[in-house]
Amino acid sequence: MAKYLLLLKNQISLITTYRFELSWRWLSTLFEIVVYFSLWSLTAQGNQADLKKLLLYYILFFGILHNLQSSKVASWMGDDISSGALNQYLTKPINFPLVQIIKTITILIVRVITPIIILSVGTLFFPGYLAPAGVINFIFFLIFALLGLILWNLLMVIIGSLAFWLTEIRSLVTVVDLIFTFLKGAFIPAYLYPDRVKTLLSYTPFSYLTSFPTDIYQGFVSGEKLFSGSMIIVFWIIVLGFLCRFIYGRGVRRYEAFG
Amino acid sequence: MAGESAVMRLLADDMKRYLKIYFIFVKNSFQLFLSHRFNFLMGITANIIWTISQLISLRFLFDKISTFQGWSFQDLILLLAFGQIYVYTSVLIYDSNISDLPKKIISGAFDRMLTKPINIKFLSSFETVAIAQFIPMITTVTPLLLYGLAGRHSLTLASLLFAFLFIILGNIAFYLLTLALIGLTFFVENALSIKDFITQRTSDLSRIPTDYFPKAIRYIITYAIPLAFVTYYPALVIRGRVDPILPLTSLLLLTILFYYLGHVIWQKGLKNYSGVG
Repeated sequence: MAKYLLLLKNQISLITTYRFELSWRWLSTLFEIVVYFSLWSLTAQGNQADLKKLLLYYILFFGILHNLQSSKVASWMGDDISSGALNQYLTKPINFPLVQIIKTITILIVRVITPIIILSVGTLFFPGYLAPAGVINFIFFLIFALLGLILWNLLMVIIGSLAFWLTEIRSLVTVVDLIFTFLKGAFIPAYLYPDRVKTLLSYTPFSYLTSFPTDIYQGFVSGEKLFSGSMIIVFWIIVLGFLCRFIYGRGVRRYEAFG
Repeated sequence: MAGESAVMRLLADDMKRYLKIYFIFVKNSFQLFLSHRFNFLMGITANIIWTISQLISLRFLFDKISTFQGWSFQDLILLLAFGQIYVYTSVLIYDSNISDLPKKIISGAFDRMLTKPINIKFLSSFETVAIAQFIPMITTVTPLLLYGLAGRHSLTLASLLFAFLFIILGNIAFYLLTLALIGLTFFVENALSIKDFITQRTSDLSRIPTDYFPKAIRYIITYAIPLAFVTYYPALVIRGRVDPILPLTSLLLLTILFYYLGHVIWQKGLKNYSGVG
């Protein structure tokens, strides 16, 4: 555990060195929020409650949850596998996918700090617009955001492990990332999906990556739905966890290194 | 008179030489494209998926509203098509080369480029061509464009030509701005982030009609970043909502300004530069 904490510490100091780049990233996030909010705000037709719902949806989506879920884990795994850099991990007592996840998570945590501060300060001044529906909602939001993060990283490790067979996977990762981003509800707010699509997605991991925690934050999830959602997430974490172990294990057995 | 024609001949020879060099760049890029087919195929798929997702989003949006501040579904598709033309053109022709410049400076590859008898800005911009972008550019932009243009009463040959002129000149202005921004690499270490943000990230805004934004943003995405000139104005011209002469003159002046800006930054930057490879 200590070695992973050390890695986390090193990564944080590495990332905070590039403060300027971080500022541009935050601006990019702001742009995404502005663009999608502008597009979909017309559907609210001036209804303040709908506008508030949409604004908060995109702030939580692009500012925090989507920002925490990056496809870098898969890309970096693919790079290390295809370049042979995996060798140095295999000879050490560390878990290669976990190292990649920690490396990515550090970047992402630093990236979401500012949006979180803005949201917190904003909540003090505009509680009617930005505050969670209640303390319980906020706690469950944090729990489900974390579960969503686990689900996302399991998916990324599976995609990254495909590099054992395909070698070059960067473009594949882009394709998968786009599809997942669409299904998560970036381009169309997930709560606006037709009911049939919503029901279908509720049985897949995609609903639980971002839109479910957002709904919890805004108080749109009943106790019954929360329970069934938890069951589905746990089911997917177990299934994807086994799949990860299986595919990665098979891949390592197949892997040939030189040098 | 004789001196003038000699200069013209020299210019023509130079042009021919650079065209020949560019042809070699294209040929090399094509060979590279063939050797990484799977990756390129996935790249093409990604672009097609992105466009389809945007189409679905717009269709879905227009199921809920009848008009977007006076812009119809067809108008927004046209805006999307023009935005895609800018994105694909920049990626196809120069963006990956220009984005690689900071890396080349760090690795020392830029020193080797300086020793070649070719204009360094030309070499830094066009060394590789992203051949794979050509296919999605055709397959996604053509249907969008055809749909966006079909059945318009305001469409004339003149409006088409003016829209085309906006796109060509706007893309040149964008290229010159990109070149100027990456030239900052010689002075600051974060030039790539600035360049990416200004020339690529802001392209997200092109999907929404510029007149939807507050005045300050409208000015920024027109006169500081020529985004409106490559998407919004061509769409306005096609819709017959603007006299193109004044905005075209502004765009021309902006292009000249970006050219000089890039020229000064690169000249000073190269003087400032010391090899590290």
